Amino acid sequence: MDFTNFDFDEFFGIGDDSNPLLWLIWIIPIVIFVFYGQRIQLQITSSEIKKNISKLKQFKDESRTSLIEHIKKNLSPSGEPTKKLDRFIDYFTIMPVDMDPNGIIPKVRHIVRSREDTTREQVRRLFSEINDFEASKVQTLVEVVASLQLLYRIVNHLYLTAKKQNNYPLILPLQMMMPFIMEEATALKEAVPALKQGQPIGDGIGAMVVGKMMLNTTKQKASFETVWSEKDYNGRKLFLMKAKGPSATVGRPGDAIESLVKENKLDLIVMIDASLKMEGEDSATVSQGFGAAIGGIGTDRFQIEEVATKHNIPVFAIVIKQSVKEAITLMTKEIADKANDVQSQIHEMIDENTKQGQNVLVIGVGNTLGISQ
Amino acid sequence: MKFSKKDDDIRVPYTMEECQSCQMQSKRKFIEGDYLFKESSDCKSCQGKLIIVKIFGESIKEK
Repeated sequence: MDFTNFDFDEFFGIGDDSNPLLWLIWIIPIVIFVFYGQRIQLQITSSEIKKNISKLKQFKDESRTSLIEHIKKNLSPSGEPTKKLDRFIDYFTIMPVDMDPNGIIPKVRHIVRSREDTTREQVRRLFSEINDFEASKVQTLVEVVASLQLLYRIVNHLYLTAKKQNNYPLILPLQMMMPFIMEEATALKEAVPALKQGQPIGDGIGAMVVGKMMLNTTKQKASFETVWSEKDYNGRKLFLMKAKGPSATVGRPGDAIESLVKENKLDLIVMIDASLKMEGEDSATVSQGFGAAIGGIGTDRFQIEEVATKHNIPVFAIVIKQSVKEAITLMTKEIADKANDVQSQIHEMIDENTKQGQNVLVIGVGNTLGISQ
Repeated sequence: MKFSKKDDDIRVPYTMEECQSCQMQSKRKFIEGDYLFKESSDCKSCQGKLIIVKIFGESIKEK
């Protein structure tokens, strides 16, 4: 190809003998993109978000229907439960004012527990007779449907606001967050079958390890829905603690440790919990670290840290890494297979960091659905 | 062009039982009512007590 006789006028269509039609082909798109570029981008982005909103709505509706069917089919409620369930699903929580954060933890704990206690009582009142196991499953399912409903409402609100205002920058944060929101929503939707059937979830690996260590010991109540027992190991006294299974509960380890430390001197606390893995990390890898390994809103962690600091007790952690989906759906084989390895690591940690005659508290943190002790 | 491929996996629940006397392990499909450390039945080989030691899901990949 010969480039020596390249004619710019001809190429851009601006020469004297140029066709005005060719000239327009260049100019019109530029004008359109200058004045309507953001609106075009808004249309493209919003169509993708709209698809995800439809999915969220589907997840919310399917999980709600599944909950109602489960109650009607398996639990024989005293009356028609749908209206009441819809009210529970719609509950909101107003967090305390944090302008002055001093003393906010007891306030948060009070509000969150009020909600939990009220929902638990109201779920129980739907039935003339229901055992703790089934009631805890229904309560957890209500929380799952409520979370899906909240996600749907927030995303839909942000989307509609951006559309209403024709405001492209407003939709950008939503577009960026959408994959994370959908990952969470998919995990919640897929948690429903495991919760209905009372199967252990990935988050329960800590409870599973400690539950196994508690076999053939005398269990005592430590606090609400939390149990502990004593066991001798290599000249040390172990206090083993977990939520009371096989119900769907995380117990109240914060309260439990406060009451336990009043009557017993502790020399070491070891906490075992599931932890969210980072991208690139393998599922079911076991890591050791320091500090209170416990999720949730933070009130139990605060209590444990307070007790540990006041009594100068070192807190060690062993975590089993997993994705959001693995943490709230049926436990995978890879995670379940790590239980023996984690138990060996607990023993090793105790041997290396305590002397004979000392006391160690081992806490299995997490939802203990389908895991007894 | 497809940049990413996401597989939907279906997890089938299984229950693993272990005999308290002969330590023999057996795997079966999960039955509703199963929970970890529950005494399930008698061991077929030594008549010892079987307890449930694992409940887990194994994936069947669906593309």
